[in-house]
Amino acid sequence: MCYYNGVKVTKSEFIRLKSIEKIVAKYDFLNKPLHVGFDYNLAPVLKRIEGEEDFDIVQMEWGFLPTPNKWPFIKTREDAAKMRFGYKDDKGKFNTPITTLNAVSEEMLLPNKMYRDAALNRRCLVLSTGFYEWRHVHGTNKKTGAPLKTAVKYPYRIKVKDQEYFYMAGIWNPWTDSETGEHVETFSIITTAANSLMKQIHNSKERQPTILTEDLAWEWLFGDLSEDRITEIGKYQFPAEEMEVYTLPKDFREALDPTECFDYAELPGLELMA
Amino acid sequence: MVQQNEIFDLEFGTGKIRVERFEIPEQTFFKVEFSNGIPSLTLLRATRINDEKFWTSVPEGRQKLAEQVGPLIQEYYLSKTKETCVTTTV
Repeated sequence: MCYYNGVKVTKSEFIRLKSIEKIVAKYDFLNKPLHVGFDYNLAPVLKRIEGEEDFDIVQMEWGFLPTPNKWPFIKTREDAAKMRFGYKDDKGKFNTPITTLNAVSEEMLLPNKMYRDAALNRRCLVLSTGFYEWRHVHGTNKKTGAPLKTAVKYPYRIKVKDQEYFYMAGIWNPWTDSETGEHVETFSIITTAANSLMKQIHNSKERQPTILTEDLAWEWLFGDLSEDRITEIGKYQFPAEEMEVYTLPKDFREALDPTECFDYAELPGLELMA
Repeated sequence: MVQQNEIFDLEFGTGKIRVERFEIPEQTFFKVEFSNGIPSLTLLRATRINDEKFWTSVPEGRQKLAEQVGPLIQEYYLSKTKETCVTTTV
């Protein structure tokens, strides 16, 4: 529990009020007559103000870029693009991408992992109103009845019941382009094993983002945590019964309202009980 | 995205206040300008630990004023609702 203006409020309400405070202060929108851009969709992240039980709400680049002097030695934007999208080397061999959108909670603290230092020292919370995953459904051959190799992918939107937004555990890293001097803060979302519902939706990987309760979010951001506790919180599996899911059109990313529900008559239902 | 929606004037004590309503995703705030030289106030509805709603200032520090001005804004919207009801039932 916390106090805001002397009134006892929950931690999540405190975070909400402090977030609004940051927006008001940072963008000074109140002195302007109409619109001021603040695109939440980009990547709003709650970042601790060092040494204080307070935070800044900032926008960070999703896709962790490690410190340049450590493997895989990303020194420039060109290096970053190669890492993210893969590239052909001088001999024509394709080097596969290294994806850093997510950090696996069970492995992030292992020695030599690029995420280790950030997990120990730069934890953050990623604000979200919902996330998307694809369910892979294998049809059957009409003649033989054998399962088809290629799956049909159905997009789902996943929310937390009765919450407008929620917090995902994240870690962040500052990064500077050694040629241009461009400085950005980048982040990765922590993932954990999928719960009974997410196992059915994200059935190709059986993982889910680490969604935190308000107490765990507080601890993740402000706690002086042991390695065991960091891993323990990172592995927290948000319960299936507190999630709400629905299907979306396959082209939802291009839709005016990408959150609009779409039903598929042919899609088997989900087993909602664990 | 912050969007300004509405501006309206209200009586406050012996003076007037000008209220501007702002929206960001799933949040509403009000900025209040006072005619008697009091510095402008930003306020919004928040929730106590016992789920009761209350008016508060952002940033912190002007709770008393928020509790005086907030109910006037609430009353303004309630009276608007009543007007709408009267109109639609005639």
